[in-house]
Amino acid sequence: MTSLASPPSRAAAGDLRVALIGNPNTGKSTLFNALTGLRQRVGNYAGVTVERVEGTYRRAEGTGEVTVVDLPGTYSLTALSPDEEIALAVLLGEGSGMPRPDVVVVVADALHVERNLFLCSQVIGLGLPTVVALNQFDAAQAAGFVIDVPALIAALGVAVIPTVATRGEGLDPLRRAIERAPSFPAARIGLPLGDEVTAALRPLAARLRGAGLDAPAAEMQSLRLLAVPEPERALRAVPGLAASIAEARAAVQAAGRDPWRLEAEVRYAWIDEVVRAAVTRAHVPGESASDRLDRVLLHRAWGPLVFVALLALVFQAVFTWATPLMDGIEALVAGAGAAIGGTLPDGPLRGLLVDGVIAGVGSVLVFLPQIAILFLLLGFLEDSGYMARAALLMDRPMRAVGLPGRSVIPLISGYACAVPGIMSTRTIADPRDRLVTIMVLPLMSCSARLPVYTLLIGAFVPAVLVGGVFDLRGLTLFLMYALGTLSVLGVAWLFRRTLVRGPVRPLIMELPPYRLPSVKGLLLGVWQRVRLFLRRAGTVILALSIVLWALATWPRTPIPEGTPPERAAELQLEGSALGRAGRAIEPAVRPLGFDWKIGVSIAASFAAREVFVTTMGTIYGVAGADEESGSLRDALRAARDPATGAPAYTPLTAVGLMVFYVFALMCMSTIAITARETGGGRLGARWAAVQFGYTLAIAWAAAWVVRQVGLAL
Amino acid sequence: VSELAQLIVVGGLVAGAAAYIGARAWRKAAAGKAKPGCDSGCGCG
Repeated sequence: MTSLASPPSRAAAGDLRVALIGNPNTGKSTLFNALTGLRQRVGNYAGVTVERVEGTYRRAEGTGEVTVVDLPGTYSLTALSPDEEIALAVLLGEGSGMPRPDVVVVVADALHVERNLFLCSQVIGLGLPTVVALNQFDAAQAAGFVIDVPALIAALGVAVIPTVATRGEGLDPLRRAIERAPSFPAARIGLPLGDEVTAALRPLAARLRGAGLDAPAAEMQSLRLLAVPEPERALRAVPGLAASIAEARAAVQAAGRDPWRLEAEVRYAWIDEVVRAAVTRAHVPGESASDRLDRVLLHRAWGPLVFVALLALVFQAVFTWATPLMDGIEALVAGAGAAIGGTLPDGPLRGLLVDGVIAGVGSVLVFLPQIAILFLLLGFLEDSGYMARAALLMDRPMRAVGLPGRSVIPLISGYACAVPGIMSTRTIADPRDRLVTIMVLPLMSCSARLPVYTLLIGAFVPAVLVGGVFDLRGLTLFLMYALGTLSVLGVAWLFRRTLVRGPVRPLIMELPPYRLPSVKGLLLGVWQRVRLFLRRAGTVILALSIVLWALATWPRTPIPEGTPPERAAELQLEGSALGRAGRAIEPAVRPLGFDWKIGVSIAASFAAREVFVTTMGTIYGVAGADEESGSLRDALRAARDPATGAPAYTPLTAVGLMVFYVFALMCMSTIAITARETGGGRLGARWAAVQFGYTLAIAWAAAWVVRQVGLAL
Repeated sequence: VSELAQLIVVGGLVAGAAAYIGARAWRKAAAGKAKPGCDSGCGCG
């Protein structure tokens, strides 16, 4: 219980620990970046920050450092969803291994003072030194609001600093206010509770004080806990707390108030008074440009059409814009292979570098331009505010199948990577809603699938125009993404009717205004994805390339004299450890039309999906008898079945394989994060096993159907 | 560079790479066993 009583951390002289908290989409991450000089990802929709992020800056006054912690966006401290629970835990000094902050900065949206004051009043109620950053102050003025800042300061009892985080305005006064906040006495706000209710809450507050909470925090908690179905982990340990809460609820009811609504009622009554005193609206602007755009983009008929057309154009651009850059990287990789091949004498080291490292890592690096272009365009849609509209458009079909409105943003995050997508389901309060979202999320095609899709499309789908506008390659890529997204709806529907039953809640979301994204922000987003991709290429993919090359090279197979070099390389590969493993896997994938090389590549891609490409690159690097072999795409097109001499892979094989990858959960990271986020331990392992099992079953069945239909046609 | 020297270098690289993959797999398995909480290691990549 000691942590409940933990005082602010200010142990080291001059060092300050600051927690940044606020409603979603108030510009919290932008302010965090402006304060710390860091480059945390920001987005024009709610829920971008799903984890705790830290940064530091030097104090302006005195010596020492200020450590800023950016918390997930939250509307209140009611702790009904996991992210709200995290925010509350940090403010109470309960955040795993993190001391209680010295100062809390509440980032409030000046355009929506009324709604933002709810969280403000709860934070101030905790008794921690607090500063309010009234962000987007310029937008509020443009919208006709006149905010009397001194009146707001008088009502809240804490410093209120107008800021425009995107332009860095108000940062110096904010920094000064942060540094001075600990020296002011704790603010008290007078909620209109009335004598009877105050008396009803007194025993509960006393019990919390007895457990180590200081007086303001105990008062705030006694009011909050009335509306919390089950107190969070830290408070559950307070002896007799459940009985005290039940008694307080009964006493509040006896006083003629509803205990479940009491906190909201008294806080909003207080907020009404504050807003009346401090905020006026000089004029109400007419219909904005955002409103006019929304009439088309959110139209019942036009909206979905524009959405589909925009995504089709994005995938189109991924192919057409990336081709010259891909050709350039391919030439560089081939040049590096030739240079090393020409420098080193024949031997295992040359084989490792040329056929393992360069063929393996190089085959994945070729897809860097496509990943960069995809994230540039998705980033544009996100930062412009369109993605929030897309979420709203997707809400209706998703609710029809039983997916909650709040799962839209995590699912869209899944296009980048399932891991942060699953993390961001923490914003979903209902555990069943959260579970069903986690279970279907890996079906959204993530960026690691892109190299697999584009390798196969590049090798087997011709560059022909469809309808005079769309390139067939871009259209195929779009169809793969669409198939994944549609399967989310189908599988969620099934889960809702079997394992995870329950009611569905609609999406309540504030639509941000449209704005022109900043070039810097867009490039930063692209760079973060590119850096992640390069890091994977330089670590796990490099390591796997080396191991795969060794497995494809040893043990040595005796080759009969006079065997042609190409056949000798093929025989050696088949006799290697990788070849033997592939032969063992082959019966499982043969009904899908896949050979042992594809089978072993699928198995290896369990480490990371791109490793499929790496493994094929290594296999064809080792099997290539001449050092001048072209790209992996050319190698796949030219590959022959040694028994029949027919092409080893056809467009039907490619489509079947892509469909397999649309559904298959071949990702160790996703399995680990699913296990953790669905409860950890045995329970989490069970859900992760269900997820892995059902995705693999659908993948296999879908690839089999593709093959059968293809053969029938 | 003699074939033996090449073999020694290659052996070291393969062993190092295998150790890295093993450690990564172990880390992921440990992350899966952990209870959910507030942390910053998302395990992506």
